[in-house]
Amino acid sequence: MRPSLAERIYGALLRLLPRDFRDAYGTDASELFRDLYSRARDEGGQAAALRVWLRSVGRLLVCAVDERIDGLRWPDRQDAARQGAVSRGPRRRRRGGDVMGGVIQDLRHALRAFRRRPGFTLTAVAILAIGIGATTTIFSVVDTVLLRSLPYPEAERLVYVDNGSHSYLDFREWEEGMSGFEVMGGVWNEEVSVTGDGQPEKLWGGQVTRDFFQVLGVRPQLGRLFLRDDHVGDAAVVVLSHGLWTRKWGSDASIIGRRVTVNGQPMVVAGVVSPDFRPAELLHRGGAVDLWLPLDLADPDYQSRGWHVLNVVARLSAGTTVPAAQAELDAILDQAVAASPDSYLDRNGEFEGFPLIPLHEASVRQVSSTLLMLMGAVGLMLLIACANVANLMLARGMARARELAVRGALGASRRRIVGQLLTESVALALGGGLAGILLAFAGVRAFSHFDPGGIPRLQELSVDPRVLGFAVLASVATGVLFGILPALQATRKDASDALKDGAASVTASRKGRRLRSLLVVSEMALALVLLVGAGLLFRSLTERLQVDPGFRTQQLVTMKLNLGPTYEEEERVRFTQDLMERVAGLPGVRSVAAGATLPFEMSGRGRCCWRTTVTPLGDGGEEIRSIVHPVTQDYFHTLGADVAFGREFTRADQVADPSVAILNRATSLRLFGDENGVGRELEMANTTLTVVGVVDGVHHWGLDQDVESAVYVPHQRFAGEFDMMSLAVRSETDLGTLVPALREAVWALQPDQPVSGITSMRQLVSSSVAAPRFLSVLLGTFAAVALLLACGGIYSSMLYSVGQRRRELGIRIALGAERSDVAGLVLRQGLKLTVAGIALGVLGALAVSKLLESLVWGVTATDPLTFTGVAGLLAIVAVLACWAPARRAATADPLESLRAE
Amino acid sequence: MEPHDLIPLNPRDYLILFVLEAGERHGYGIVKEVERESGGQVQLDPANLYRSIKRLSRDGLVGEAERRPVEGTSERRRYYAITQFGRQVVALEAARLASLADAARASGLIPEARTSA
Repeated sequence: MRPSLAERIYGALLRLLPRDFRDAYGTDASELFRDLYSRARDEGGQAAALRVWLRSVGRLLVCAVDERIDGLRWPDRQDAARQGAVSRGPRRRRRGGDVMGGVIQDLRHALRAFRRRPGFTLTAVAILAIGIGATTTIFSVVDTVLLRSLPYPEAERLVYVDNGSHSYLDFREWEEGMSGFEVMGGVWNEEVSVTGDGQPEKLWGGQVTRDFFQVLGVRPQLGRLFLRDDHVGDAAVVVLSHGLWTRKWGSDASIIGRRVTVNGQPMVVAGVVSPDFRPAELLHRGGAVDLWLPLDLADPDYQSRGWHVLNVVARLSAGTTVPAAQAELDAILDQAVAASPDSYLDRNGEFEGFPLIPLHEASVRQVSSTLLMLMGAVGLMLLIACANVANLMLARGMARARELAVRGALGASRRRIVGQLLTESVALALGGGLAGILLAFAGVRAFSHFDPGGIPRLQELSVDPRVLGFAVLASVATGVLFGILPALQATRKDASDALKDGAASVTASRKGRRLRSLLVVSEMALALVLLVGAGLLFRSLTERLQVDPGFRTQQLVTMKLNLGPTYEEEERVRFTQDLMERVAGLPGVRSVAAGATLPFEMSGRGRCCWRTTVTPLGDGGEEIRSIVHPVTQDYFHTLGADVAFGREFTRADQVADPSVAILNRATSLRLFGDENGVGRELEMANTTLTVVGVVDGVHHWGLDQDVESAVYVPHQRFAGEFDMMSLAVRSETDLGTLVPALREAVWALQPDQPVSGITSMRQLVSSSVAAPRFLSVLLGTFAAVALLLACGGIYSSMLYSVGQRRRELGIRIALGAERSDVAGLVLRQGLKLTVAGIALGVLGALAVSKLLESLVWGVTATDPLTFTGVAGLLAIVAVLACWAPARRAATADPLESLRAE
Repeated sequence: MEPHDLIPLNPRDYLILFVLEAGERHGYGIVKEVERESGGQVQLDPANLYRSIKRLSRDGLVGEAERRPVEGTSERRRYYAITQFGRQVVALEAARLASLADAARASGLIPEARTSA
């Protein structure tokens, strides 16, 4: 009869029992189980049988654990029994080979030793857990973001066409001319409004070229993706992301063929993409995409070389290399640039080319140096933890000197004893690693929770088997690292002097002391490197926060609207003016203005919107390329920015004579050679404008971005073709009451207009430094832990050394030394170690400062203030840590020492 | 080792010795008898039964029976029997339990045992 599943499971679980137990009783136990199980089933049915199974399995597991523990303890008893006859013959050999037997025996020894010293064990495990936990957390980020390939088929063949977005005309030329590309895809991301089902919503839409999905190997979960015909003419179809389909339509399978209204156009849902598809952050803004629309390259609207909106990715043909494809692309571009140079020039009037970069590399280049820096930082922390535990082990090794000497005298080789000590330290490290893995689970969750933005693929972050494997490897390496020195130290030849009591093995203890000092010094040095790093990042953050943004951020609320293609050009302008009027009438609102963009709406290195060549008329100055901001009347008044010369736009400028402009000081100086350019004229976009005002300068793109050239023009005249519009409202009312009022104001004018981004300017400014703040807090935490560990290290080391020297110190006191002298002795010793550590650490920090250069802002990577500050901090904390050992030294009892002599 | 060294016995061991006192049994028999004797309160599972047997064998309280009670059967099961030493131990434990029970009765914790006619 074939055994039932229940029996087979029970039989398999029996393997958990120790081998000798299984050999003796395994068959009986499994037969007995079969009897009990089948009898229960016959008498009481499936439920009774299940009860028997559950009870038997549960108790079997407990029994296996008990037996194994017994197995560890039992030889104890045997040893004890044989203690009378120490001179046993050749060493007992165990089944399973000498080596394995030795390891198991060592492990037993280790576990027993740990049980005897719970304080030591817990401290060491906690220290290691912190080190390994932090390292594992950061490793899992590094692994997810940097090491794992992108989740697309043959992802290594995907290349990104770098240097911003590209025009349709370029795209088409490459598609026709590039033999090195098997297939190409482009996407234009835009905010779209989806109306009809429920509240109007603002979503991210990706308009994609014909082969976009094919390049990335996207498959539909439901329905279909785009067909060739969808890209020709006005095919009104849309493909939904899995997330949107789940959130908005509750995974309703009947969605296919249903009508939704996108940007006011009725569209038919063609399909839903598979949930496995993760949009690349680089192609879609930060990975945010809710739906896709087909893009028609033949559409006459898109035939401009200056309209750079497509993010382009391509799959290399089989056998092609990146340099080969690059050469081919460059040749095509040379012709294009020669034909229409203006379309390819950047802010400085140069063409930087379009480098082909593997998609993965391009996605992570912004963050890779940050992540590697963090990995380095946790690595340092782990080293400090190692040194710390090594120090504890050393102190403990001294205490065990006699035990080890006895073992040696009984014939154990040095290798054997070192092996035993290493087994102990690895076992300890694995314990720390286990606790560290638990910490890493929390750490990984915390990391995604505090997502500073800009790190791709964070949603994939998890503690997976690879990460676990890393944690185990790191633990073993850690164990060997902190175990090897103390083990070698404890088994030195002269350590056997320990047998000759009394003499207290002066040489051995001196060498031990030297090693302990070395460890303390390296802990201090490593901690200083981390502290300097954290200090520099912290200074970079405070430097940023001290920058005057050029306007008043308090009591300022912003609302971002997307006036999509449903609006005609005049409608956008009229809507903006109507909305301003309405909002100005709300209670508590003091002033209101609008612009195509507001400061801090977008922060970082990217630039958006309208950039053009501006030429001064009349004498002096030079032609420049500048960003142009269409803004309404009261813009600077509402922001609270100072107008240096002239005036700002009035309602009359907007309507009657819109040929006016406002500059910032820097732009005026460059254009006209004079900060006060009021009354001068300039030409841009084939229009002549008269300068009516000069403002001091507003940081538009972030605190850490310089005030750049800016030309402000009347919104009424120039904003028609912009679908983005932001409202700035200066108000005494709090955000909570203002948000619904603003929404109502919008919906009163246009019920279908999605409203989502209402936020305070302070919040925008704060988010603009979210990444540096996150980094500074994270590294600060690591550095604080490092400081704590290093000071714990010097504290315990000094305390130990005072304990060792207690007799000597007592004699000094007996011979007339003041107690304060003795305390000073200890403090001086601690200070000596600290100073050595700081000196080494400063050298180390200088050596790694090059790596930090790209991450610091506003200070140099060798900032003297930071260096002296953290060195001082470390010195003070270290001296404080030596205080207790010094006091203890001062209380050494002279009588005790004399008696002992 | 003297019988006294093993007192008090673990209750499960006591019950196993107690049912073996009545005759040799195999594993299944022990489980069923123990369950009956304890009024269904003690239900042994295979792993822990053999764990007890291993311990009792090591201490010399039980041994494997020489003969199988049913000759000629294909059964591979082992039968266990109590040793002389085991009898001494279980008797000592029974006496200890009895004196505890007496004390409990004397203090009125449990009702007086009815004396049989």
